[in-house]
Formats: sequence, structure tokens, C-alpha cells
Amino acid sequence: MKTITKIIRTVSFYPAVILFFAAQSQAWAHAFLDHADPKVGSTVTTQPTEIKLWFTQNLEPAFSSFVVKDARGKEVDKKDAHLDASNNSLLIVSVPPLPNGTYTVTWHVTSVDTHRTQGHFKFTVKAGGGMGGMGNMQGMNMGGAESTKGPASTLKSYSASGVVEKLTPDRHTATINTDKIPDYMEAMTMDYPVPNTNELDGISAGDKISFTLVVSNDTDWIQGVHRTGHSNAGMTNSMPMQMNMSHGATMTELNDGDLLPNGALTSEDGREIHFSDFRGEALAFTFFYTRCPLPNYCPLMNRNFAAARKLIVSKPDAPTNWEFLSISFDPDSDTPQTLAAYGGYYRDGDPHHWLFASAPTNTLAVLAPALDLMVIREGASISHNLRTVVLDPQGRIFRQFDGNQWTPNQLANAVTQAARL
Amino acid sequence: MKNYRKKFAVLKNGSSWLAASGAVVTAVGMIPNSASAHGFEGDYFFPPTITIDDPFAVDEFPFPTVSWFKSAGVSTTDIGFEFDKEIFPKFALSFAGDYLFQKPDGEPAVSGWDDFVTGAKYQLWENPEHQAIVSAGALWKIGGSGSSVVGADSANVFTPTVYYGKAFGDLPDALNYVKPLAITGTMGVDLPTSAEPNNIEWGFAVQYSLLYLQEQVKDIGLPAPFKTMIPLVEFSMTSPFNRGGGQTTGTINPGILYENPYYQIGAEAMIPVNSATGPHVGFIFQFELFIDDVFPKVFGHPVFFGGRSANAGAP
Repeated sequence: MKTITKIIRTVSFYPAVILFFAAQSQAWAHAFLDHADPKVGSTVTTQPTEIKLWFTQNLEPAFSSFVVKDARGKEVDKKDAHLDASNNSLLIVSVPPLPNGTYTVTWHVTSVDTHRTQGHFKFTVKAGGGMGGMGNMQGMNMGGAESTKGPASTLKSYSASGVVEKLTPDRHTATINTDKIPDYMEAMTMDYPVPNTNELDGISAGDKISFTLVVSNDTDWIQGVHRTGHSNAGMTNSMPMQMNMSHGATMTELNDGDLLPNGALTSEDGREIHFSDFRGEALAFTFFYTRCPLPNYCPLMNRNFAAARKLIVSKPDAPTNWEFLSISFDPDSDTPQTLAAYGGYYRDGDPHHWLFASAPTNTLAVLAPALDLMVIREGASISHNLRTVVLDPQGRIFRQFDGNQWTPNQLANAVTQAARL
Repeated sequence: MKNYRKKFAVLKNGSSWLAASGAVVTAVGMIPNSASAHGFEGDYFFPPTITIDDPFAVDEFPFPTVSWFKSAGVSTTDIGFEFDKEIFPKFALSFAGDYLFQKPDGEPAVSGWDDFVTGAKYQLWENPEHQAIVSAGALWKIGGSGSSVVGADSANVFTPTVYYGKAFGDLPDALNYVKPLAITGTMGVDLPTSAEPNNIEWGFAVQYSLLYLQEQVKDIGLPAPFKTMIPLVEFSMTSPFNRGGGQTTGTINPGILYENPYYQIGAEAMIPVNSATGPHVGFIFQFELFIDDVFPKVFGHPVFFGGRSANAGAP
């Protein structure tokens, strides 16, 4: 019986030993997928802009990644897989608008104790296109953010036409000098995502096309592209006011470390403010205008700002000397009152660290060549590119982001780093 | 690593219940032993099953494995341990023991160590894409290392064994809900150094991984702890084929495994397949610490020609 007692004592002691060692190694063990967004094996009716994977353990960023491929095995993600800034067990990758179909997510991760695991799953996009002609987006545009009633109300399609100005080498983006779309937007030149590049077979720069513009809550793309002719006119037919020209003085594009020229802006409360007012803080600013209808453009910039602000605030050791500034290049339409209302929507009740303002023409004339910012007014419409800049507390350029491919995580990291300089 | 094997829960020293029939020796007290291994093949995590050894040669330490089973005339409680260590990549050695508490009907209780078992296993062939693996190994029941009062004898028994595992995550999407299914199994031949019968030790485990279902097939919204459970049925059989060994005996063990990042808990019923095995349903419980997760610097990689074991792991 002594032996029995000894064994029972040993067995009783064992769980305590296990708990002790488990407590010493909270971050260890293999990483398994806990859940994902979109859900594993699910069918989604709205376009995802990001794929998120939550794992059971913290991950090694250098050895953890995943890809999203379409049914033909072609990678469709934006190749920016990264760990969330505030959650080292959350992997995120951005995706362009995904045509209806089934996609495979394949992940390989390494937990912080070097255990490797892998897996894959599928999800299906069934966004229910072809709902054309509905909707009337007037006034300021929140990127469809006001439309949250459900899948049937999240997609709108518009018949459109225009002239192809250029195609990216991968043909996933088409720059189209778009004719006015009644009840939706003025004529303007815009870059449009093209999820299915087969749509562009036989299409080249200069071709006149008809197409369907599909707009969801947070993205847009074109489909149903048909060649209708060829334009012999110049690619951008009229640029009555192109803002990337400097006024006389030679101004070249600035690089990281260069001091940003000061300029006056009109803030949403009507005050005149200057970039120099933000000295001592890291400043992230981007450009937009409230009437911009396409979710992947101006609204995306502000959605990303909202997400990045949230990321920074959520960090326990985050700096406090930083500010976001959204600058409209449409001061005639974007009055302080309009900006305040627009900004209030994106700030969601929290005014801290984020200001909206508009830039007068003379300020834009200085900023445009310095930042390679292109702003073209064509009547009531504005064609533009996207530039987002992070300044360090001394007002020097710390990081610049082109277009709409950057992520909130990248911006949050850049601002955090800049604030600590 | 230690394969399931028949434990001759016999009392050889003056036990009248045993003397009644020599033939019963091969049938009574068949207690599935602690047996486990765990690993990955491709995307699939094969859990360490309780009764049937799985095909992975990795570090592990199931302890304790507690079982209770009543065969004809004797009830046996078994507390077992096992330790496996990967020595070279894909090659592991094991050592296991069981402390037995036996209570024959009408006789006083006895207790003692059964013969210890050591073994070796090598992963011969793997196909990660199709989640398949075949291994080979051998077990050595060390004769005379246990206590004779609980039936441990002086005969050595060598058991060359083949192990296999196949999961079905490679099935077409039309069979989505079959993908979490897997089967592992073993087959070995007892080669005793005494006149005991030769047995074919065979068994298999059919398992359905809710973990794999949730993670890689379809998130059906299972909450914890169910989403990391693995229902399974293990079949553990011994078929003597000479020397008057008698008929096949064994148990069918339905049960469930719960997976945690650091350990696994499993429990199964043990249903005798026939009256020669026993009259009552027994049970078996096992706790296994994933030592490669709790002590990653020490375990989870071979002693020689190291690097993280390609298969070692647990959720």
C-alpha cells in the first residue's frame, strides 16, 4: 500500500507541475488557426478588403505568412501579409475586389517558440452583381459607408463609358478617362481595379470602352468591358487646371528626410492652420475630397486613417505626439461645415488625433510638385492620384505612401516610429 | 511508442482462479496499454491516440494512463507511463511501464510492475500532400523486469510492428465533411522467447477531427472546448495463431480526445469484443503533456542531426 500511496501522491502532484510549466510558457506551443474572416468554408456576399487569420499563439513575423489564390491557382492578394500591430497572433493580408468565385487561403506560420504549422481553407465570394442602375449617391460620399442594410443593399452597378488611358503591366488596374455617370459622378479620370483581367482582352490604351462600374460599401471595380472604338485624341483630353505644376519656382519631388514646405490650410473649424503648427508631433496627412464617389479612393484613405488611429491608440506604449490630417483639395465644395460633418462620421465620436482641413489653390500648387500629387480639375469633377505622407516631429518627410495599396498597419507603424524621432 | 499489447494479468503463484484454465491466460485481463505518438502529416494533425500507437516517431510523455478493466475473474487497474525520444530525425526510442493493481475474485489484491517495454520506431514513408505515413519499428517486452505477482514473466517478447496513418483532407470538396476523418493503425507479431503463443497484435483508430473541420474545412461555429475535440473509436485486438492461443480477444474503445496547446486529455470506454475478453465494459483515461511545447528548447527535435522535428506538434 505504500507504493500505491506514493503513486497517488505522484499523480496528484503532476497537474501542479504541468500548470507551473504552462504558466512559464504562455506564448509557446504550436499555432493553430482559431478562426478567420471570412470564416473557414464560408460564402460571403460582400467584398472583403482584407483576409484576417487569428491564431492560437503569437507568431514570428518573419516566418509567418499566407496567400490567397483564386480557383485557377493565381495569387490574388496584395502580397502585404503582416501581423497586426497590436495582436501578434493576427495575420492580415489585403485583397483587391474579388470577383465571384472560390478562393483558397494557404498559411504557413511559425509560433514564437519556432514550431511550424500550416493549413489551408476555402471561402467563396458570391456578391450578387448585376444590380445595375440603382442608387443615387448625392452630396458627400462616405464610400458607401452609409449603406449597411445587408448584402442586397451593398452593391450598386453603373453603366459607364470612357477612354482607356493606360493599363498597369499586370492589367489589374485601368486608368480610364470616364464620361459622366448620371446620378453618380462627374466625368473624370480614375484608376479602376479590374479583378478579372480577361475583361481586358484586346483592350489597349486609347480604346473607347463601355463597362459596368460596380460599387460596394468599401470597394469598387469594373467588369463587362467592351471595346466600342478608338480615340485619336490625347490621352487626357483637357487639363484646364493641373496642380502638379509649380508656379515659377523650381520645385522637385521631395524625398524622405526633406523638409516639407509650409503651407496654409483651412481647418474644419474655419481657422487657418499651417503644417508648422504640428511641429513636435508626427503628422500623417492624406488628400481627398468629400464628393469622391469611389470607395477605393478618397473614402478608403479615410477608412484607413480611422483604422490606423485605432491601431495606434490600442498600443499600450503608444506615443501621444502624433496627429492625422485629412486635406481636401476641393475647398469650394468642402467648406468647414462640410468637412466637420464628413470628419465626424469617420472619427466616430472621437475627435482626438485627427483633423480635417482644405487646401487652397496656392498651397496645393506648392504641395503638388513636392509630393508628386496630381490634381486635375475638369469642370465640376476632380481627377487625382493618392498621396499619403508621414512627417516627423521636425516637419521632415519620414515616409510616403503611393496610391491605395498601403494598409492601416503600415501607416500606424510609420507614425509610431516617426513620433519617437 | 509502446504498442498496445496484451498484458497477461495473471497470478502465477498459487492463484486458484488461474489454475482453472491455462487457456484463459491469453484472454484475461487484456488491458490496452498507454500508447501514443503525435504529429503532423501535411496539414493534418494526428493526435496521440490512447490505445493504438500512431505512426510518428516524436518526443512525447503520456502520463498517467489509467485504465480499469475486468476480465474473467480479475479486475485490474493500471497506471502507466511512457516516454519517447526522437534520437535521429524520424527515429525514436521509447520506454514504458505499467503499475498494476489486481483483485482476483475471492483472492487478496496484489500489485506490482508489469514487465517494462522498450521500443524503436522509424518513419519509413510520408506523403504530406495526401496526409499519409508508414512507419516500422519493434517492441521488446523485457522479460523478468516486472513483478511475477501480477503476471509479469521472464519471457522476452519481441514485436516487429508496422504503423500507418492516413487522413482524408485530400478528398474533393464534394466530400467536405469526410475530410476531417483519419485512420491510423498498427500490425505486429509477437515473437516470445518462451513457449507462449505467437499473436498478431493489430488495431486501428478511426478519428474525426473537429479541430481540422473548424480550421480547414468549415467553421461551423463550435465553441470551446468542443472545437478542439476529436471523437474516435479505437479497435485493439490480439489474435493468437498457434500454440493453443485461443480465439481473438480485444476491445472496441469509443471515446474522445480534447486538445489543448500544451496537453491532451483523452477518455474511452473499453467494450470487450467477446466473452473471452471479458464480461464488463472498462474505461481508460490519459493525460499527455506535449513536452515539445512546454519545453521547446529540450524536446521537439532529435538528439542528433537536430532541427525542429518535421512532424512533432500539437495544437
